[in-house]
Amino acid sequence: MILLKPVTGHFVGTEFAWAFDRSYLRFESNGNALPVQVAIPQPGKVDALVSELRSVRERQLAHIPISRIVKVIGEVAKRWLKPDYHLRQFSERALPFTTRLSSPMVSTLIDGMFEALMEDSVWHLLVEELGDPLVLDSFRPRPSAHGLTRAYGPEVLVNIFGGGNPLLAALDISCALLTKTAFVGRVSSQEPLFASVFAQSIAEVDEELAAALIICWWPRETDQVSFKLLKRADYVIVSGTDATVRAISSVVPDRQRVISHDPRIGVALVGRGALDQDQVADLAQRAAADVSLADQLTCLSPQVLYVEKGGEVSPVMFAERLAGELLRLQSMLPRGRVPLEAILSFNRTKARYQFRQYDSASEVTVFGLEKTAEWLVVYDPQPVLMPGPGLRTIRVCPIESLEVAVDMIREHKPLVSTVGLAVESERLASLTEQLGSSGATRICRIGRMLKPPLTWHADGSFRLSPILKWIDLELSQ
Amino acid sequence: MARLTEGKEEREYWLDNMIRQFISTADCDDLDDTIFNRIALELFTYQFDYCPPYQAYCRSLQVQPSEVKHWSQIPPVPTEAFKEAIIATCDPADANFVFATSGTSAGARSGFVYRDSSALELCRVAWLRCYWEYMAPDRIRLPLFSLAPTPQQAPQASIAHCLAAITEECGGPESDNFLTEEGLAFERLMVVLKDAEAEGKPVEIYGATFSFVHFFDWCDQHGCRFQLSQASRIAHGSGYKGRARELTPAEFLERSVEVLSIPPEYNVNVLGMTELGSQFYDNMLRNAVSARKAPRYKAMQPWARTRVVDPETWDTVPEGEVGVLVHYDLSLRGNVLAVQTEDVGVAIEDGFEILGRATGAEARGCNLTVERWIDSNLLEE
Repeated sequence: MILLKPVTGHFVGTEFAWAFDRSYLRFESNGNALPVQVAIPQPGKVDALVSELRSVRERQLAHIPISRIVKVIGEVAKRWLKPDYHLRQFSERALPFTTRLSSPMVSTLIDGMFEALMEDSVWHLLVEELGDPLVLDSFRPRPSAHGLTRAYGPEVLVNIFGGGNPLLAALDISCALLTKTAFVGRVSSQEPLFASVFAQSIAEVDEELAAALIICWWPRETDQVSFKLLKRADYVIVSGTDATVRAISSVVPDRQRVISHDPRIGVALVGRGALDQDQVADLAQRAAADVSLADQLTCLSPQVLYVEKGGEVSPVMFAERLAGELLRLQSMLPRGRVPLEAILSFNRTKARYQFRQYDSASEVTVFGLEKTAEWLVVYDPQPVLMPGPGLRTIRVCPIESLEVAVDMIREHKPLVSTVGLAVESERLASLTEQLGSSGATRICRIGRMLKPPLTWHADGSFRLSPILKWIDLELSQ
Repeated sequence: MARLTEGKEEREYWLDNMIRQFISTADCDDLDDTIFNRIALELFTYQFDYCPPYQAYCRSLQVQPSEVKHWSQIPPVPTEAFKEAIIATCDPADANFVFATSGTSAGARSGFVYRDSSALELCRVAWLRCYWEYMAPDRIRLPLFSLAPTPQQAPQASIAHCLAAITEECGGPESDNFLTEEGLAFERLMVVLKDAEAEGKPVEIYGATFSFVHFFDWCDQHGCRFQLSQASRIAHGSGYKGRARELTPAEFLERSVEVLSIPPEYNVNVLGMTELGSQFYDNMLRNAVSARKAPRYKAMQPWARTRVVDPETWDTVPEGEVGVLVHYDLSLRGNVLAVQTEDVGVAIEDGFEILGRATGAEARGCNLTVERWIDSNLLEE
């Protein structure tokens, strides 16, 4: 085991250093060990830290105009999109240790994330949510009421990052900055690195904007630190497993202040009209991208793909096509380091369907049985909707009509977040109508499932509005 | 050497004889590969021929018996397969015994292990040989006090059949069972242990690890402590399954000293699985009796070997590194000799140690039958 030079997995300004201890988390990959230095708030100093954050925010962050914040985020995104940007190169080298993603996958995900964070997209988000983005700077006229209004972000926001797609931290931090809040991010012990690297890139462009930005870690969700910090925060955003969300919610006295992102899954639907010989290659390619990107670690990733019977290409043929595309993507976007538990769960699923297919009555067909296949396609006539073991495992289920699949999604409300769709345009309206009440909150084209725009209503809500407070000035006599 | 020209029955007769003889007479200190390898390859060829799902599995891995030269090349069947297919060389209709593989916690499905009489007889030979070798190397016929179900109580639990055979063949006349319809009869156990203590007679107690923990707790509540006489011993297995307060292995040893005065060398953990015939015992008691010094680990036997593999590549991992346990057990004539588990462990010298089942794997184990009784009684109260 070769011990590599430690890297920094925290972002704590010098003026806050007094409130933190330092410790190391260790990550191993291919015979190398990478120590990641993390910062842990001292329980006795949490109260003072929060007070200091409030005053730094009041002195500096609160007075930065929104236009400057948007420009900074746009500039940061531009830098990240350049292949030679030093923090990007660092992430491509280091994240394969701390995440389950390979370097090419990290690179692909960085592109996706920062394309969404370009200056124009950020303005679109602000306009969509607030109408007039300048309400974040000063009182502004209300077009449909006689008076003025202004939106204030929370003074202190605590964000507990999940262990899924590590790049989501960039999104959470950017949205927080837009509301001019002081921000404390608690990284997951499974991925302590990216959030602090992103914070560093903000500071490189505008040090003042990062003045009230802290990325740290503490050992358990229910730690003393957590207890004190969450009590004093104005808002808490938490992503993670059900247990994490429950633990956090139980600590925060006022439930209104907790915004949680629970685990969800994606489902893909292919209509018979989309299954013609000309389009099937392209469709299989796009579906394979949805299955492969981020190695199914995100809540957007499809776990089941329902294929309508009666198309020019049969469901089992489609499964075979998909397998071919997954094989191709495996060499371009290899999977990363896989924890033992994850590989065992993957192996168990593979064994289950492999032996099931030996019973010809099951009509199961498994693709990806080769020892080297880092993916698995199961053609499974049992159309049960359930999450798989991840690691690019997809069940392709033939179905009489997509409406039946929609009913299953509804039965499992609110398990399904994203629905990837490939249908002829005449059916789009009626299917969308039905999906609207099924609990799914996002319907997109297959191939776009992992690439939501910044304006996506994650879990059906706005990104900024839930943490904003509005102050109105009424001018009516 | 493969006897392809002979019929199934002739091959079974020949294999059974060879395996029985090997298990009965092999020197447990000699892990030489020659005989093991010869029988394993012969057995693999037979199982490839008569277990169709296993044949299909081997073919999918592009493995043919004619190309396998060493037992480690024999494809191990994943335990999950027992839930999906009939992993047996006999027609299930002809099976005299059907064992359920997992105790199954919420929602987990059971698999089934089919065995004909002569296949079960081989398992029985292995059970007894393992027991004499690792649990009773001093050849003392102790009263065996059981905290586990009998075959009548749990006909589908292979462990119940195993323990019954051991009690019948190796136990003293005072052997007794303490699992009743009402749950574990700790009060009665206390009385017999107190008697044994007073008479200075050694005893053996066996059962699920968590049953012992329940008993230790019961003893705390009732202010019970025992000075069991020297040479008393306990055998426990299959862990906790979230069914009792979990102790570390070191804590379990300490508690056994504290409550029963059983020294760590006479405290033996056993790994058994329905999918296996042989059992893997801690080497401590055997070493203590023959005054040998070695760290505690599960000993491999001449007829049952274990590899610790990387589950991504299936290559053997270096000694001391964590991997998944794959067992090769010649007593499994009626099923498939190579079984790939989800148990995580490390190789140590001539054996291995189990570190637990990977989290996320369904909790399982034959002793859950006991827990169900305890559970249902709680509900009735």
